[in-house]
Amino acid sequence: MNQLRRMALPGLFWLFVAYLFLPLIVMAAMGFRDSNFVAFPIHSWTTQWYREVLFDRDILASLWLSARVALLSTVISIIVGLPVAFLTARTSRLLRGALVALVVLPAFLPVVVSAIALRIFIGRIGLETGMVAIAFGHAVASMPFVVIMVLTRLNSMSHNMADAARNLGADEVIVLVRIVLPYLSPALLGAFMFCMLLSFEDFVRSFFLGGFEQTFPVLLFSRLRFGFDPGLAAISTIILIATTGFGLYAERFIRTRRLGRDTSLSATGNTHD
Amino acid sequence: MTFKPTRRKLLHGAGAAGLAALATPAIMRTALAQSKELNIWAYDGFVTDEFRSRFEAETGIKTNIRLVTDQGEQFNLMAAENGNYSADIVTCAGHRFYQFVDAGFLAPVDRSRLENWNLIEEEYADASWVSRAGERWGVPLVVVSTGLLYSTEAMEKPTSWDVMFDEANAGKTAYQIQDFFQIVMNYLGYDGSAASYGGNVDVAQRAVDSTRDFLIAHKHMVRRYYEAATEIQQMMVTGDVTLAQAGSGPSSQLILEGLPAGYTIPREGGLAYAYGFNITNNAPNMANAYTFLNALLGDPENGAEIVRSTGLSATIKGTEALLTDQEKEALALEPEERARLSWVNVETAAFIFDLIDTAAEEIRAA
Amino acid sequence: MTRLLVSLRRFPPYRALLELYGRSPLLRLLLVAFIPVVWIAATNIMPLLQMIEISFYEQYPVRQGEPIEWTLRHYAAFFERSLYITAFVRSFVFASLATIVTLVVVFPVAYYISKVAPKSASTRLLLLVIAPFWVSEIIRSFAWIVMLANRGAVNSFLSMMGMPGTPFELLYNNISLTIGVVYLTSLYMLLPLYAALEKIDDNLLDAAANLGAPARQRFMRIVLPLSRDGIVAGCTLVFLLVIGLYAMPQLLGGPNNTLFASTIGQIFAKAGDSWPLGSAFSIILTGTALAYVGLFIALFQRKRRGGAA
Repeated sequence: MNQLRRMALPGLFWLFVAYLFLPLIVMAAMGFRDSNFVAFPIHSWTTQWYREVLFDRDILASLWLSARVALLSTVISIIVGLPVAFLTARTSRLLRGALVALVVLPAFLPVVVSAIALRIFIGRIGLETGMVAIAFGHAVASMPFVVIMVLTRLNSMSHNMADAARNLGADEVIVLVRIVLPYLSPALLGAFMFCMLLSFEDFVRSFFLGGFEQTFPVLLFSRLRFGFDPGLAAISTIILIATTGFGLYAERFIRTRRLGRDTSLSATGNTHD
Repeated sequence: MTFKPTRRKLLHGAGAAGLAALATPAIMRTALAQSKELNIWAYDGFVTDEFRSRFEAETGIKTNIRLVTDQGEQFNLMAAENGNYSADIVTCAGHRFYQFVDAGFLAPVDRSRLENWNLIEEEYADASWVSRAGERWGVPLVVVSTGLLYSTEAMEKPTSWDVMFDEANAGKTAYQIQDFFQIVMNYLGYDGSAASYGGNVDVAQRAVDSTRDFLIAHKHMVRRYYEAATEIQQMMVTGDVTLAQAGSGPSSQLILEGLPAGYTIPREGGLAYAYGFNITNNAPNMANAYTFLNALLGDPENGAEIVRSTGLSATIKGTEALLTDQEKEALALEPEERARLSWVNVETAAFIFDLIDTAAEEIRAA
Repeated sequence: MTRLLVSLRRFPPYRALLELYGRSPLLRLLLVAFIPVVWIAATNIMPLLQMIEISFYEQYPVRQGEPIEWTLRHYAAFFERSLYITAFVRSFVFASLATIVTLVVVFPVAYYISKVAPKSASTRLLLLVIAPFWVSEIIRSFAWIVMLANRGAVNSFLSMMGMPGTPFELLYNNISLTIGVVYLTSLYMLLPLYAALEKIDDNLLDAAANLGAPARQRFMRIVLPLSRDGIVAGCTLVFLLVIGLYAMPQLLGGPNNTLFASTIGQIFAKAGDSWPLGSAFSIILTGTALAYVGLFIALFQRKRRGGAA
């Protein structure tokens, strides 16, 4: 059994990675196809599609807008989602069910309905269409994901640590920043990823809440209207490489920083790992 | 995500009533806002970069273009904007623009403000399907037909829609249910446009029911009910289907690419409609919209570019002369094929689409 | 960070706030509850009420100068025809099955990253599996079409290997649909599972192993119960994603795979007076899905309490 576990789990993991990446590798190859359509076999190759999309001003502008929207909406939904989760965790069991239902509601509503409702809503409160409106809409949609992630982790948190800190004279903010948030950090990291991804991928809400500046998915859908050309495969590949590179860089940056801090200030180092 | 015939209860004069109610603010707003901007919702490829920058340079009007992908999307957005439309010009498809008209979203086109109107091919400029509620609507820009797309590797050019129901092609066909439905009604000897039923629901319902049952009986032959043109192109390219009901635009793109595909209008007929630019009701930059549409009509170059990037045919005179022989070959239909096309009847469309929509859901669920 | 907080304590408004917080339980509740209550009321409840209102309209947009007509017929339309109920039930069955498949596929992956792989590598492994999710859903769906089509990657590979009987029809059936759905949802299962598994104390597992508990028992008695919160959270997220999917099933499903979310999408894709009907159907779907998930969570929580007692 141990043998099996040693062999099977890495095997399953790498099989899963292959499942995730193979289609995208095929897409990356399609970006080099000298044709207006993607299919096998690839008879002649060209770098024209990659060059074209890299210098396409509309695509770059839409990616920039999408990145800003994703970041802003993530910040909003985490700032709002945290207190929502704290409040939910504190309500009595009876009320909690109803509260959770209300909180996760936007995630259950079909996306078209939610988008239309939000469009009418921003019209009522006088918010202009555009970046802020889209980010607001995305925050509404991703907040339930933050709450579910945080609540799950909060459920298993023991009160002893926080109580001990309070007994030692720590105020609520110190307890929050030094004990609760570090304990929640894996959940927060997950919530952060969800918010970024959900926002970066959203088409319907961006369409209804956006103005003449378009997010990347909105541009993608309108280009898709008249054919799936290798350029779309090329731009996806570039996004994949750029985000992976950025992720690895960020991970390394944090790791080396933490390493430096842990060695110099090991007494006050991170409480959770 | 694309063309689906649609429904809307006939509401006579609703557009006109809405217009009257809004007339006062309209005048005030145009008087106040002599802006140098113009906001357009268009499909990708309908306004070329080249035309756009030339227009901006010549007139000093800044154009903001928002790319859209279908009719329902534009309708929903305009409905949500609730009268404060962010666009001056929207792109409506001929077979469903009546819904925009009935909802009061559009302003009729004043031809006296378009001196280039006579540059539109006559058969499109004065067609019956541009009128609704006693007014003329929109500037037709490109023309679309719906016919039979087939793989030239798998078969000779078919002459009849029979092939779609031939067991030899089982598992190799695809169609958009709602678009194909009217064609099949005609194929089975009913009246797909419902014009001859004179609003008689019982007769129309019987025709729709028996067409529906026919399609359900042949459901096992269908590989796929598709929605967007891109999907049918991909299925043809990867060899998953050899036969499909499809639009002329996606079909001619495949042919121009040199793929083994052909497009024809079989003898039982096909459908045709136009895409046009429409001015929104109460448009903030009405004058600029007319300037833009006039410039567009006077520019066959832009028309030819639209043809090249979308595979659709342009309505502007002189466009064809700018195309290469290969392009003409891919786009052209034989005269007898053209004669088989029937134009969507705007007045009866709402009536018949209502019945077809339900039948389509039943086919999907069967 | 600590130094910053200590200096913050000398800042009068901060101290006033803290004092307010400590004064009474009611004030404490008000302070914690203010943002959540305002946000939920404004963004979750108000738009929902708006759509509920529209679902009772005879038509929308309401014509200028015409009175609003109220009706129940859009709700009645759902129950009148068995075809809507068929798609509705199919959606719930499919979403439940897809959730289970996702759980089974993803659990070993999450377990490997959090417990078996070296701790220093786990963040990088997570980043590796997150990366594909930056590519748009629509592109990833097309990627699977290019993989599975008659002239796709798999068939091309098989025929190159000399496999007889190619091309196989791999697309537009339940299998291609499931492959595509798991492809889109696996991350939403992975991260909650990871967060739950990561906090299981390794010493506990080692101790159990030293006491001679076989791997299977360790898994059933320690890993599974302690990751229950993560399983519930992951299943909830995946279920609510699948129940709302409509573009991907359209692209990878066959003629017999219509789901209710697609039906709603179809209603709104039509221009015209489709809002009341679409809203009514959405409210039916949302209400049922909430009740369904609520029941699921309640069942699990009762089990947990039962297990702890």
